[in-house]
Amino acid sequence: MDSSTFIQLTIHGLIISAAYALLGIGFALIWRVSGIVNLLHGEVMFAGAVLASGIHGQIAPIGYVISLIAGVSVAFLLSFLIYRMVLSQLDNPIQEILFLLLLKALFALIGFEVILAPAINPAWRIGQTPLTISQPQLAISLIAVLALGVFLVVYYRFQIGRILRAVAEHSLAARFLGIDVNRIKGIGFAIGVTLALVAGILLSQLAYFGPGNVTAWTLKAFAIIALAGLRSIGSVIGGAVSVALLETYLVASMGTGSAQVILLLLTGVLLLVRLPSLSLYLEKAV
Amino acid sequence: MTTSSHIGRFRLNRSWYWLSPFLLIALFLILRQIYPYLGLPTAIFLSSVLMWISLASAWSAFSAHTDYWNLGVVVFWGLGAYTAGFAGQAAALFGLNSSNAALSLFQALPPAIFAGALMGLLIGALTLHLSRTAFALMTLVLAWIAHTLLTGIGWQIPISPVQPGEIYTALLVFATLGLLLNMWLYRSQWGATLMLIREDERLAASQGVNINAVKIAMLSISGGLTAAIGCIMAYDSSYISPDTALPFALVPVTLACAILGGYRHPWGPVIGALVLVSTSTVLPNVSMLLVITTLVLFICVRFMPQGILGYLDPIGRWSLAISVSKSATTLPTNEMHTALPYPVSGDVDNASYQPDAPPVLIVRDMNYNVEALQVLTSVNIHVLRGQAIGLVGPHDSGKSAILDCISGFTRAQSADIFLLSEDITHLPPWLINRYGLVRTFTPVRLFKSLTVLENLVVVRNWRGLSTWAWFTSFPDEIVNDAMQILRLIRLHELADVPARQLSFEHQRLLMLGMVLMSRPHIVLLDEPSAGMSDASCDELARLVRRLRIEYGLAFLITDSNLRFVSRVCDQILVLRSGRIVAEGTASEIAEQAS
Amino acid sequence: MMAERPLLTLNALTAAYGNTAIVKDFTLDIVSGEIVTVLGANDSGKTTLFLALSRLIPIWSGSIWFDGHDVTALSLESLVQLGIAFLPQQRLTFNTMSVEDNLKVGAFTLPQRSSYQMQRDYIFELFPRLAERRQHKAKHLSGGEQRLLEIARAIMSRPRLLILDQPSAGLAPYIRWQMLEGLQTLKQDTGLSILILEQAIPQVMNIADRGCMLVRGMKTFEGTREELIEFADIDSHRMDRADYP
Repeated sequence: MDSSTFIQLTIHGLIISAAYALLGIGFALIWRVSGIVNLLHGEVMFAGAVLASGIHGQIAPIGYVISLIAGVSVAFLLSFLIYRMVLSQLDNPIQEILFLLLLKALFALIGFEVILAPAINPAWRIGQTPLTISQPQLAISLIAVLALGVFLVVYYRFQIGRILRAVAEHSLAARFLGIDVNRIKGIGFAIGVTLALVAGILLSQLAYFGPGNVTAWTLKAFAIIALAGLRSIGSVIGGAVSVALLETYLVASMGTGSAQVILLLLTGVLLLVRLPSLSLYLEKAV
Repeated sequence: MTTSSHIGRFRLNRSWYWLSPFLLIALFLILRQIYPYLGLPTAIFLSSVLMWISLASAWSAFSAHTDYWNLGVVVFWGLGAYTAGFAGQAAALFGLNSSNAALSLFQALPPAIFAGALMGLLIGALTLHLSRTAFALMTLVLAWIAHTLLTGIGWQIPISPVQPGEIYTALLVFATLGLLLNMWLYRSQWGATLMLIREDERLAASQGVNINAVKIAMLSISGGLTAAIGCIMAYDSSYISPDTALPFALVPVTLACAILGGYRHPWGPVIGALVLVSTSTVLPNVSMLLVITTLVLFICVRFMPQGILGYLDPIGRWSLAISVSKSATTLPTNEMHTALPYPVSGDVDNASYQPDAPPVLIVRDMNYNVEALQVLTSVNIHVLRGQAIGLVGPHDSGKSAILDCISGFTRAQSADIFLLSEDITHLPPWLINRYGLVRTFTPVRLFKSLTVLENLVVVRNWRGLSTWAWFTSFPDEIVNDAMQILRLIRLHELADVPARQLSFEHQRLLMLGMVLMSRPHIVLLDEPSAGMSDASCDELARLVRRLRIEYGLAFLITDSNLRFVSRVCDQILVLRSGRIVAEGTASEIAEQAS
Repeated sequence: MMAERPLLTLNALTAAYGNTAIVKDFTLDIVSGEIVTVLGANDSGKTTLFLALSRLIPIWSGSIWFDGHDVTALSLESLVQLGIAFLPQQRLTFNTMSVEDNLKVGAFTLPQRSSYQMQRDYIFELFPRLAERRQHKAKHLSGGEQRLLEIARAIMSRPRLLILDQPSAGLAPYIRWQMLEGLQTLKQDTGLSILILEQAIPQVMNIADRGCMLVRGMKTFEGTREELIEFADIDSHRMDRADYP
């Protein structure tokens, strides 16, 4: 591979890495703040992809934007309710896993991959040549960076962000300060799901969403966390960039099939290595 | 007082217990003979039931008994299927099978079982030392990775056809094996160790159970059996592909059968399989099956975690059956000297320890810090045989850290710990127990679901246990031992009382009794007087004194109650902020304090 | 001080761990602007009392009245929002967040930004060490400084009553002195009432206005500071004072 191709691949990788960062942060946020490992991350992203592609080009741009905002709001509210009414009422992590598997089975029943199939045809997919960057793709990537920026500002400079961080770090201490930890966990869960939805909306124009791909997206979130750990948002962003770049290079050099095999094996190995430190964030706190 | 074999409120005779699986075989054999007259759907129904019984039993044997839920069942199944395929190809390649092009079902089973067991060993070694949630999650994610990988690769391997009825026979064999395995776990000492792990791993480790080895071994067994079923069912179609080899619906259905029927109950999988297979015949497609099964599983786990059979038998004493022969109760009370391996010293009033004997415990220069905090600095301890050393200090002076480091639960940054002449510095707790150092805990740790007597029996001395002993139930000698110790600590009247119903003080005494079962050289007591009344403290002091004098047991006692420690110990070490600041007899320390 | 309605009344409080009652029939009154200590040895039930008051373990019988209202059934969060701040024994600082951020989270129940700044400036005056380290992450503070931070954080929301469980544990004498001085200043400046559950440490007894003794979960003595000091001296064998400097 010559250097100009390498540079172009790097740029492509960086373009999708902002959206990957959103999906990684969403996953990490849900895990750290509400203590839930979101097995449905892929499904939520798919919902975003369906939302974005399903109505693409069918209504006026302003209506499109409004529908997206409405979709995001509905996702936020729905996930908050699901957390408050079901997930937080469960007694142990096994019940949480089983409930999420139930939702996963329901998603599979709906089979929205079928809805999606004719709609997706992004102008550019990783691994295809020529490696040109179109304006829409650049715009989408900038939206992703913007969304990331907004999140970071809120998370680090606003009170709600501080409280989320406090609950993520030590929920008992937060309780002693009068914070309704259950409600904050619900908010954290909802924000994380929303970030995944937005990532799905954005990535639907940049990457492949198709039948049988749902779990692969969830595994991608696992890959980011396995690489970066859960200690800080910064490391998750770094992990997302690394995964995006790695994927780009691998797909370009050996094709989608082999690249996926290597990435999956790497995810498994990294997860095993990282598991002892991740399991610290698994038990239900008081 | 008698404890007879019993299983909940259904007092089954022992012979009926072991006969019942064979009744199952007989039933299914008869049904198989007559199923041509019943029409094809029934044949599939019967095979399905047998298959799910086998899978659920295999899952249950590990996951229900240790409470580590293996959500990656489908990986073992797939491994068995693919091993059968590859073994067949290999056999054809090397011309091993002269008559057929590929392997027969019964020839493919051994490599499949081996592969499954090996995979269980690998996954177990990598994940079972973590928490239960981490294990469940990891097995689920690994299953997803395997599924996605193989669907992507899309290996398809042709497989040879089977004789009619071969699959049915194989399934019947494995269903019975699964049932027998689970029934055996209730009767054997091996099953008892699984129960100890389930109840309290830390306590089990301190009592000499090699928890990691046991867990990994059991996962291997479970994995091997699951792989066997995968291998058998691979022969059901003409080729192995990711769709047939890694059906994701396997996970919830297996769990549902195992749990719905009766969690941890040997017959649970049978009931569960019957219910679920019957229900699935009315469901239109696989996606619906997945949803309904997962729903049933979730509701069951949330609202009725004991399953149907557990619900019918709410007393839930599907625990060990320990039989005590009549002779155990008539043992003369002065025979206790033989219970512990030390001869009576004879000299009750004078020095209770032998200063010339080699020290039982030496702790040299122990340093322990947690991140930036220095918890222990240069701790030195010397305990002679028959001696009692007390460690006193305020709440966060590091007393429990010392016990944790010595007993192997925490690793000190630097230390030399010698038990008699063995270096036990970096050994795991169970091995330290086998060498003769035992400990109690604060707060109290017991096996709460067992009776007083059972608590003692299950922590039997694991030293020198022959492999054959794992297959049997607890021998009478152990029960007699336990009774003797109960008499020593004066709890023999309460032998049949469940441990959770004991008063706080009796629970502490029971803990002490449990550690005596392993014939220790030295006992570490963790805050023994906490929460005890003065009268109970006196009782305890008397008991400790007696154990020291008559059996030469050494003690290392940590406590914040100076008065209790002064009464019980010869030497006292005062600990403050992780350092020993004073050392001497009780009177010397009292002088220094005032 | 005599005729005032008590701020906090504990009425025949009994609390248990599992099946055993640890704290039995405990009764105490605290009025505004006073420091009350409950002294007890290691297993006297101090921590159980604290856990019961902070609603982390259930109360078997008895009642708690705060400012004339029965608050026995309220949750921890509601109690904090009413104006009771709790400081348990464990370190509960948000270690990855800065001192300033910790304080901001503590100001959760404060209505406005301006009151936050006033309160924060007051705290920095009270505990200059925290002011010096305001941008440092809490994990870089020493143990004693973290304890000061916890107290500072707890009073950010301007509570009327502060309940502390063994605040001196593990603190170097100088920090302990600074902390106790700070508590006393707080009481004098703001009329904050403070309930300290602690071992019989002379420095703690010296800042208290009143106190009582807890032995095996039951109150055995109650009196003024002088009476308490005298009583504690006589009762030293029960207090295991040999264990403590």
